[in-house]
Parts: sequence; structure tokens; C-alpha cells
Amino acid sequence: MRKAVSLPEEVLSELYRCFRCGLCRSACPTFAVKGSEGWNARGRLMMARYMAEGLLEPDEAFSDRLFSCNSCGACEVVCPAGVKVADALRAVREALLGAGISPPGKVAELAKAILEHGNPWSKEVARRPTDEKKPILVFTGCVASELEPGIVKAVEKVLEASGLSYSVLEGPCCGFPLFKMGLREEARRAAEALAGELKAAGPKLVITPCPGCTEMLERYFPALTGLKVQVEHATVFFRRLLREGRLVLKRKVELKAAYHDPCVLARSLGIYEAPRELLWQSGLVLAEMEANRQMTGCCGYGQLGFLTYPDLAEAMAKRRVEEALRTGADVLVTACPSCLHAFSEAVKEVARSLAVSDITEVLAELV
Amino acid sequence: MGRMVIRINHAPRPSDGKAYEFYPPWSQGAGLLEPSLLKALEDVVGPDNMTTEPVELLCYARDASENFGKPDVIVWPRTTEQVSAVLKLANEYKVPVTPRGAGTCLSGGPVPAKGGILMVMTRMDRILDIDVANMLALVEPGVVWQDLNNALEPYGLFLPPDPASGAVCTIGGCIAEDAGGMRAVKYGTFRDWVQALEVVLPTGEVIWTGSRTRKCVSGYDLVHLFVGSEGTLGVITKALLRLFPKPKYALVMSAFAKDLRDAGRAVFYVLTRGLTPSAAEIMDKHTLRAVSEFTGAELPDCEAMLIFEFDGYTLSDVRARLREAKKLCEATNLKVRVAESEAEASEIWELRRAASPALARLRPSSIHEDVTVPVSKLPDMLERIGKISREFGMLIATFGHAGDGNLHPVILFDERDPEEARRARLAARELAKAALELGGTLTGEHGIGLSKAPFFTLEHSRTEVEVMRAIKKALDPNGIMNPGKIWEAGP
Ligand SMILES: Cc1cc2nc3c(=O)[nH]c(=O)nc-3n(C[C@H](O)[C@H](O)[C@H](O)COP(=O)(O)OP(=O)(O)OC[C@H]3O[C@@H](n4cnc5c(N)ncnc54)[C@H](O)[C@@H]3O)c2cc1C
Ligand code: SF4
Ligand code: SF4
Repeated sequence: MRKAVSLPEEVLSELYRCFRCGLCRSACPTFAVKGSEGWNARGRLMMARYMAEGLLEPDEAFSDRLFSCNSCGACEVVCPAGVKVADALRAVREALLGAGISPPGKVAELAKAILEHGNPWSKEVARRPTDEKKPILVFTGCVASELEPGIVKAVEKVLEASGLSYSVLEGPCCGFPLFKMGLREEARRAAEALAGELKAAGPKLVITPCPGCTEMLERYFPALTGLKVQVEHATVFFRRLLREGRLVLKRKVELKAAYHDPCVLARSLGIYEAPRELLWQSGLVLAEMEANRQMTGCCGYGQLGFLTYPDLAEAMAKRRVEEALRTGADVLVTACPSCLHAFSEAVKEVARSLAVSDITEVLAELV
Repeated sequence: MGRMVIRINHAPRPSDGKAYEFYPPWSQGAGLLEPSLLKALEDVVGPDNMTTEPVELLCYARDASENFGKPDVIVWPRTTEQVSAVLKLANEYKVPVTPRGAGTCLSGGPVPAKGGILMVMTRMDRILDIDVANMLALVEPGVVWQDLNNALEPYGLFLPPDPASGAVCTIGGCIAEDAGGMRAVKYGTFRDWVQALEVVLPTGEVIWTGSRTRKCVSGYDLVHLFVGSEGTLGVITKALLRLFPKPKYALVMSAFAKDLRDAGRAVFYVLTRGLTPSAAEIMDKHTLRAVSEFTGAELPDCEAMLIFEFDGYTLSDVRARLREAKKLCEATNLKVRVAESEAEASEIWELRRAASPALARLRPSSIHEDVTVPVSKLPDMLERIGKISREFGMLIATFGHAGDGNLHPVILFDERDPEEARRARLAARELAKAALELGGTLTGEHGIGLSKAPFFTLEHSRTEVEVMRAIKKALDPNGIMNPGKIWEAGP
């Protein structure tokens, strides 16, 4: 029999801090879809504890429940014990892999693709910065590049309208999904490859439409790669341009818009108001969704969940679209390539009448 | 099924090999269910509403208490007929059935102490009718407390008992535990709001008991036999609940006491002058210290903080009662702060809400006690808690519902240290004894379950227990319904 996977003391004490009150039932989106505790924060923390106590031998069912947590952090907002669930579960995944237990098949495939080709699509880098050094580098992230190229075009159009000179790095994955899933070494390698490209381009500021890339570059790159770059999410940068008068919107759209806070942008980075200000400047009338800002609901596609647990991800996306419909909005706006992709797929099935758009695309229409 | 191995050892050990004796030796899941029973269960509820997956069984082995008991199969019935069919099968095969709602119980009620079938009621979650004219709601047991209150909001109605777990706990669980909350001082507990029930008896027969009328003396009051029965007498499948017009105004004040006796007197005066507070909460100095560190709020040096809320339908009435209470508190040497705005009111409630998280930060494990004493004995009980804490060398921080004498002393420790865990249990026993000596009860709202079963006969005479046993036997001849709980002490 395999020996019990041991966990570092700080992780264990985080697991023990959970007193199983069950309040996370009201928040965890994977629980909402699956309807049994193993897919809830409480269940995942309990299983990890059982594993450390030698009561549970990690198996496939356990791994699936563990790896399908997409670190959305909703449980942490309601948790009365203040358990850092997402970080704790990431550490548990790391420990599991460290003990030689292989990740679920789809996760392993994803990691392989990213390590071999630099992105999940097994494609070469689409675009590299020109030799001429520019102060601004647009880093698109892997999802926008392959699945939502409209966002890339939009970002460029807004920058051009603002009279800014920039270069573009399009294609590579920053390693964020791997890092969150606990594949630390794989994440580091992906990050190093990207760090090399960033160093070569040497921009003063990196802007990206992807919240995951923003968090990765800002928080984890220094420790993983030694590279410290100034990075801003596109919404924050564009708000600055608007406020400084460098970006001028020539028209307004008069539609009712629901705004979906991407969980990384909102809960993790604390950016709620910049996208709302952009919405307002565009003339859109904001209809808040029931779960908004810190309480936002996950679209399911974060951490590339649509590649690893597609059924779960699609169900989560549909739930969120249904919530948006209840606001009576004409358009569902978000600020993340993964969320946008989630909703574009989901509306095809549940709400053809609802338009979906990234805030950068809205701005690009109006410059 | 996966390649999981569950070791059937009664004293699980953590990976560091330290002796680990915290889980009481309840069921590790016998794994003995006959395949024909599993097949029959699947025929009843359908494959999507049933699981024997080992990881899920383990996730359903615990509630919010320290207890552990692994079921052998989990079913999620969707109709009364399915509940009935499952119970009939359970009788045929003599297999235990434990009902469960959201599993937020703090005493082990939904923990299947003897394994068997765990019946999770969360998929029977429809609100069937809101009868505004008669202020009644008919619901299925899996409806979440918060969802019901959200649905009542547009009608200006609400269901007053307010367990702090309301965001997730189910109406069935609340009825089975006779849940209360902060407003119990004015509005009572679930007992006061349940008017009729549909119950599937342990034999599988279905009864409807109670009336649509407010008054009813037609026969024995079976409704209230099921309220607080902790899932041992049958499965609630529908509940007709009384509702109340939602108050339009609520004003809040906090009061700090340098002496516990003063706090006790203040509560006494406010209650006996008929000021009907909708909350009269207390936090002791240990809780306050933790809260202050956790939130950064500056609090006066004191032995206890009280929070009073007054609600009503006209502002002048609510204000008058608040003013009167303020005077009474000041006359008993309390320092009063009235919340002048909604922001200030929520600051006060923020402190109360921070109690649990702030304490959870101090030590890894906690036992949430639920001792309740006559209101006049509140200061004595607080003093006894202090004494027990010193005797056992354990940090015990107390908060609770001063207005109904219901205290929640939280014993803080590290369950991985067997010595400390043992002392925590002993301290819990002493707390129970102290409450009983003061004329109180083991539990005001969390139930006996498994946690307090060993102390049950400290409170109840042999004859009284015999009566309970006789009732149980009459309804559940084969003893299949949530066995091991309340008076059935020991595994
Ligand atoms: C953070 C926190 C705060 C809490 N605050 C309060 C509070 O303020 N006041 C209070 O009173 N309690 C409180 N509790 C305790 C608990 O939440 C309540 O007892 C709640 O009512 C239990 O509901 P549940 O749906 O979680 O039931 P469960 O915990 O799943 O079950 C409770 C009991 O009910 C039985 N049961 C469940 N459904 C049925 C059914 N349909 N038919 C028959 N039996 C059934 C079970 O067998 C079990 O014995 C709190 C708990 C936590 C974790
Ligand atoms: S981080 Fe999100 S998905 Fe993971 S357990 Fe918490 S709420 Fe569930
Ligand atoms: S809310 Fe926090 S303490 Fe409660 S069960 Fe979930 S993770 Fe555990």
C-alpha cells in the first residue's frame, strides 16, 4: 500500500481550521453543479485531511474533486473561519504530485502541451515583439490569442486610437493554470520561457486583457523566474487613458449591460470599479447581477477548466448566463478572455438573444 | 469504483504517526449492505440520486461537530413516495437510515453513527405554496432557510427564527433540531412556527399531522413531537410554517459591562420591562479580545459586551423602547453606544459576526457548546465557565443569546494533541454539569445528537427516558431511524 501523503504543517493547520460548518455550500460553483459534498470546499478540505490522516488513499475520484476546484475563491468570502481554501488546495495538489501520484489525464495532457509548445493549443508563438523596443508590450495570454482574437484586435485598436506605440507578444501561456493546479515545476518552466521573451522585449509596462496573466506576472513571476515587470490589466490601463483624456470615446452605446466580474480580476486582484467605470463611460446602463464584485460567480472556464473538466465548466457557464438573463440585460459584458469564451459558448445553447462582449471590444467599437 | 482502500481502524493516525484519538469510534461503514438492497434502492431513487463512491461516503461522514460515522450508501430522494419506499426497504433489511439536510448540525445528528443509508433531503427543495392571507408557507424539507426568506421578501413576510447557518441550512434540519437564533428572545424557536407536518414514519407509512388553523386541540400534538426529534422518529417531507409580517424598523445598541452581574441585571431589566428586544446578545472578554484583534476594532476594557436590537413597525415605538433600554443599562453601570446610522448598526453586528472567525483563528479545533440556563442565572453560568476554563487549563470563550440564557462557550484546543482533546471533552462535561446545577439544560438549540448523548441521563430521569423509549418503539419498532442518538448513548 502507498504511504500516506504528508502535508506541510502550515497546510495541515489550514485544513484543521475548517470546522465543517458547511457555509461554503452557498458559494462553491462546482458544488452547485454537482450537488454532493465531495465537490464542495468542505468536502475537498475533509478529503485532504483524511488523506493526511491515512484514512483515504488518493484515487481517481479524489483527484477529480481536488483538481476540479478552479481556485475561484468564492468559498473564502463566506467562510467564517477564514480558511484560505484555494491556496490550501493548491498546496495539497502540489503535495500529491510531489508524492509521485499522477494528475488526472486531462491535466497531464494540458501540462504536456504547454511545456512542449508554450501554449495549450500546441501551436507556435503567433506573434513576437519587433526588434525595435517599445515602452508598452501587449501580452495577450493564450486564451485570447487562440479562442478570442477579437479581444486582441480590440486592445490594439484602443491603443492606436490613444496614439500609443506598442508591441505585441501573442501565443504563449504564462503558466498560471499550471501554477494554480499545483504543477509548480511545470508552471515555473512555462513562466521562465515567457520571462525570456519579456526580458528581450524590455518594455516599461506590460498590459494584458487576461486577469490570470495579470496575477501571474505580478505575484508569482518574481519568485518563480526572478523577473519583476510592471503589469496592468487592460481595464485599469484604459481607465487611466480615459481619465487622462488620451483616450476619447467618440460614440456611446445605449444598451442595458450585465457585468460579470471575472473571479481572478475581482476577488483576487480587487479590481471591480475600473471595468464599471469603462462601462459607464461607454454609455452602457449597468444592471448588476445578483452575485457581483467580491461575491461573483465563477464562469467555470478559469484555470482552463474547459479543457480539464469540460462538462462541469459548461454547466457553470450556463448558470452564470442564466443569472445574467434575469437582469434583463441586452448584453453580458466581462473583462477576461476565458469568461468571454465561456459565455460565447453558453449563449449558443441557452440564450441566443443575449449578446456577449469583452469590455475591450466595447471600447474598440466607440473610439 | 476507484482503487481506494479504506482502512477500518478506529483510531486514525495522522501521517506524522502521532497517536490520534479524536474521532470517536462510530461507524467506519460496515460495507455490509446486500447487493439486492443496493439494487432495490437504485430502482427507487434512480442511479443519479444515489452513490456508494468511497470519497463521497467519507465527505458525508461528518457534520460541524467532532463526530464521525461513515454511511454505506447515500440516497437523495425527490418525493415522499421515494422516502417511504426507502424506509420500507430499510425495515425489510434492518438497515439504519439517517436523514440529513445541509449537515451543519453541531451535535452529530446527521452523522450515521451505525452506518447504513444516509438520506440527504436537499433535492426535495420546492416551496410549494405561500399563503399570504393566512401567513403560511408549505415547503419541502430541503428548502434552504435563506431561499425561503428571499421568496417571502416580496410579500413583506418572514420566517423569524434565524439560525446563523441560515445561508445553507435546510428547513427540515431546522425543524428536526428545533433551531433558534438571535431573534429567539422575541420570536422563539422553530417549535413556535411549525403548524403542520407531513412525516414518513420509520415504517414507511405517511402521516399528515397538525392543521391549517392556528388553533387546534384535536388530539395529541404530534407536530411538536417531531420538532426537535433529531431525525429519530421519522422523515419530515413537508412542513406548513407560520409566517410573520417583516418589521420595518430595527435599532441597535451595544452596552459594555465591567461586571458580569451588571450585565445580567441589565438583561433582566430590559426583558422584564416588556421592551421585547428582538436580540439580546452577549460576548465575554475572551471573545471580545479575539474579535478586537481580528477586526482591529477598539473596544473598551470590560467583562462583557451586550448587543440589543429592537424591531417594530413604527419608528417612534422602536425608538422609545431603545431609549428606555439605554436608560436601564446606564442605571446598571453599563456604557452604552447607540448606533446612530445603519452603518453604525452594521459595525456592531460585524463584531458579533466576527466572534466565530476570530476564535477559529486562535486554535485549530473547537467544540461549540450550547448550554442554556434560566436568564437569572446567566452571570453565575459565566462565572462557572471561567472557573472550568482555569481548572482544565483550556481557553473557553463565550458568546451567545443572553436574552434566553442560551450560551455558546467555545472550547478551543488542538485535536491532534490527544491529551488536549481529552481535556476538552472533560471540560465539555463539566460545562454540562454546571448548567444542570443551575437549573438549565444541556442544549438550547443544537440538539443532543451524539455529542451530548453521554450526558443525557444527567438531565433526565430513568422514567422520563423510558417514556421516550416507548414512543420511539411505537413509531420505530425495528430501531432503524437514526440510531445511536439522544438517549441511545454509546456506539
Ligand atoms: C456556523 C453555524 C451556525 C449555527 N447557528 C445556529 C443558530 O444560530 N441556531 C441554531 O439553532 N443552530 C445553529 N447551528 C446549528 C445547525 O445549523 C442547525 O441545527 C440547523 O438547523 C441544521 O440544519 P441542517 O439542514 O444543516 O440539518 P443537518 O445538520 O443535516 O441535520 C440536523 C438534524 O436534522 C435531521 N434531519 C434533517 N433533515 C430532516 C428531515 N427532513 N426529516 C427528519 N429529520 C431531518 C438530521 O437527522 C439531524 O439529526 C449553526 C451551525 C453552524 C455550523
Ligand atoms: S475555490 Fe471555488 S471551486 Fe474551489 S472549493 Fe472554493 S468555491 Fe469551490
Ligand atoms: S465555510 Fe470554511 S469552515 Fe465552513 S465548511 Fe467551508 S471551508 Fe470549512
